[in-house]
Amino acid sequence: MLKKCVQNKNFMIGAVLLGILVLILAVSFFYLPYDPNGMNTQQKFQLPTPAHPLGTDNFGRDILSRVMKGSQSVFLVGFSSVGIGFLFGLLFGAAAGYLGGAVDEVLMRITDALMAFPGVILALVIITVSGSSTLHTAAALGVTAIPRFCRIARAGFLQIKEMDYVKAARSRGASPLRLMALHILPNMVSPLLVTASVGFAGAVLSEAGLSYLGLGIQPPEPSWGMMLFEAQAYLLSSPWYAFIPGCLITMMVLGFNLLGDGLRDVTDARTA
Amino acid sequence: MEHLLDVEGLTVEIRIRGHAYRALDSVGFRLDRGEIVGLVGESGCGKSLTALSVIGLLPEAARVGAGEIRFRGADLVEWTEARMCGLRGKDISIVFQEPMTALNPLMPVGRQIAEAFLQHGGSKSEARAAALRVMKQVGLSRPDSLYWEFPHQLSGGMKQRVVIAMALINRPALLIADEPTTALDVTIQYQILELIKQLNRSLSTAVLLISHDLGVVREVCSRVIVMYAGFIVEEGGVGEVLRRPLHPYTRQLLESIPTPQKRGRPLYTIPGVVAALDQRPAGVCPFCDRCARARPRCREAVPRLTEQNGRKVRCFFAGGGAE
Amino acid sequence: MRAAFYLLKKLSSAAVTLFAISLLTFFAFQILPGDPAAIILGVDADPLQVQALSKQMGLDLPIQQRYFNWVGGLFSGNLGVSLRYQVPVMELIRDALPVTAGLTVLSLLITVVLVVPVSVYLAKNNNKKLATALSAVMQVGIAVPSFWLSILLILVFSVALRWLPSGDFIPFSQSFWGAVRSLVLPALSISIGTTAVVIRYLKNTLLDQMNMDYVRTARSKGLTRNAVLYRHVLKNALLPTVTILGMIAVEVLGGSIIIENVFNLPGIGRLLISGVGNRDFPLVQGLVFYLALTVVAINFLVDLLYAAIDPRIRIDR
Repeated sequence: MLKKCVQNKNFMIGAVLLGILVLILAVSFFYLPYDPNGMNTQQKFQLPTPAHPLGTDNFGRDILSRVMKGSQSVFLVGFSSVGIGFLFGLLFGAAAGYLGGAVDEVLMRITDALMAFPGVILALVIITVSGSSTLHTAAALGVTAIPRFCRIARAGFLQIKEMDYVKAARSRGASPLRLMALHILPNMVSPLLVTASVGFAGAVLSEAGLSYLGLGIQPPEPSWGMMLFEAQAYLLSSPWYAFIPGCLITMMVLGFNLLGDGLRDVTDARTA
Repeated sequence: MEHLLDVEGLTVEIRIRGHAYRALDSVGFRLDRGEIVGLVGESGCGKSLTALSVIGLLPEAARVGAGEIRFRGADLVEWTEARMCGLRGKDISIVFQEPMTALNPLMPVGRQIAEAFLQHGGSKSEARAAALRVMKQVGLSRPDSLYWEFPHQLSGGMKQRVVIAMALINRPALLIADEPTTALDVTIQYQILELIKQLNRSLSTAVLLISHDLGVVREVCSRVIVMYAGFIVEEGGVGEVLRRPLHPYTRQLLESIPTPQKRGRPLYTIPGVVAALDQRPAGVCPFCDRCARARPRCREAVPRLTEQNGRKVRCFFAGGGAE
Repeated sequence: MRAAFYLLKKLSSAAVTLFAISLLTFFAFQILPGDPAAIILGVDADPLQVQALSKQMGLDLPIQQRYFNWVGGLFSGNLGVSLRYQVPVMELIRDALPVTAGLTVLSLLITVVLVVPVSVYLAKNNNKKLATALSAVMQVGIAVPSFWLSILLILVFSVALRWLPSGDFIPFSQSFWGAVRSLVLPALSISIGTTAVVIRYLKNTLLDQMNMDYVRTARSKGLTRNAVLYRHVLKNALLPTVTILGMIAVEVLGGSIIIENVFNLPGIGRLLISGVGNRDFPLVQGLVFYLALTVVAINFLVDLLYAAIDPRIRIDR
């Protein structure tokens, strides 16, 4: 399957984009050109120079360093959000699909209710109540991600529960847990991976939006969304400042979307 | 004398992953006005492809490599798509196997029938009347109310009648029926076949009936053409061919049909399967791998289609006594 | 009859979802660390004042009672009173609604106008280079954060070209067209992303439909490829697209929350964000429920629309 992935254009472009970002992330743990919060008002609003490859912001802080540090929070929020969604979504979906009946009904109602909230609203509710911080943002976005994973898990379990080879295994006395592990889960891997990939993209966008509004990751932690907000004030005088964070967010979202599309292409073609 | 349909040397190639494979090889046959001719063979023998070639609806990956398809003297292979559009549904019509999915679920069936009429110059004022008329002809009851119903409200048999009505509303000279009854219940099958026979008589429409079922062909056709792996292997009057098959494939095919006489004995099946397109060896008789009477000669060359007393057969050892 | 059952089922489903939403909304605000009255009045507040405010806010009642009070209020259109503005939430919504409604409608309009021509073009020319390029552009369109897009659009249209205003919003009461002009850039920011999503969906659906048997039947009647596309395929493809329209409307609503803040539009989104910033619980609670209600209503309307269009649901066998 990996071979097919490599042949798929979408997947490869996505992988390349993400590769660059992961590289930035990896490097950021070991080396930052400047202190991301180090201000130097004499060097405000510089365009890219060898000293500052991405220029400086309104406080003279090096944009490259801030962007690198910011990548840490972005990936953190992305992973935790998808992680929470995946874990709980899988749990609830499995319960709903396999057990059926009242459990299914109740869980589905809750999922429907969750899905009725447009994107960031749930996150906003949690933030209103608990205040804003990186942790809260991640948790909030995680909860928002649960319904999608839940749906897929449930659909997968429902579908496969009815398939003949599962019934056969059951009639031979296989335990439910074993059934799940051996028969049901492997078939769901593909749609789950696709959802995870696309979900990551969504989480990044939502987080950027929240940070932009000042409700996500709080300063002085640099976050790409917050940088965009700061840049907006200086749009007329130094449009360059706004350019980079937006590009990076777009790159990351695009990367995950393409990766997800590529995965979907590959798995669809296989099952077709 | 000009034949209604005269196919000669038709070769169709299909491109798979960059390679061109021959799906039809020098196929040739004729049809005259008012005839009902059967085209038989297993799946994969190329009978549907032949039908699609005649009406110009070959899939993207397929194209005519060589040959002529002469309809009333004109070679259709040369025609542009626009000219073919004028021909389809008017001079040559086709009905396919799956009635359940053949109709647009969002349009009333009567309108879909009328569309065929309007497409070829019929006037709007006459369209509904023409549709109702042909709906009656194909045996649909209550055409007036049925006209406005949607496909999901009709049974499989009714849908197939609708499709036939659509095909015949412009009184085409030739109707190609590709497995028209395969997807239907046995009782409905019989009704549809009777309908085809009756329409052939009343409208003088020639019919090319494609089927894998020899029983169906025997019911309806006057002549039969047997195909195997893209080649025509036998042709002749239906009674003759079924009584005294000349080609081993036809013989073995007949052997494998269960009849009361064979009760108690294990049923014969032709060993092996039709080779996939990309696994057909060239330069040998197409049937040699499964033939009960294959001999070394069969692997040296492709036999030619020879004519004997109005019958055609493609075998080095044609004829001979019953097995 | 079948249609009636379908609608009844959808209606009851909507009702149950609303009930679940009310529970979620209400109880989300109850998992507070601490006393809202204390939070509002601050750390150094006089305990007696805190108690008085608590009583005034009805916080001393048992939780079930508070919930039922709140739900009861919902039925009479009472969504609570904003702490910050000391005005019923419903009134604030009423004032802010025209802006958000205008923005949403304009965004959807842009989407509807663009989607069909572009999708049809892409489906017809699936393999050509221009189509691939267009698809790539749309992928980027989906990925771009809408607030960044706004910044770029402002740069291009307001600053460089000076076609559209970037200043304050002109209310509908003052000038209808002035208001519309102020909404164009915001609507574009939102709709570019959602339009790209719908185009992709419709294009794929069109391609799927083109492989269906009824297409073969239509062509065998002598219809040209174009005729088949416009007379048969398009309608069949638009039908499932209607179902994602509901989802799209929801996305647009969500997008408007951020965009209103970017452009400083006095709509529901800005109201919500200020409520969050001020920790104005009743306002946020009321707004969240209102928005969720809107979403459920939109989805129900979409279901209605679908039932009206699809004869398989409308008419029994």
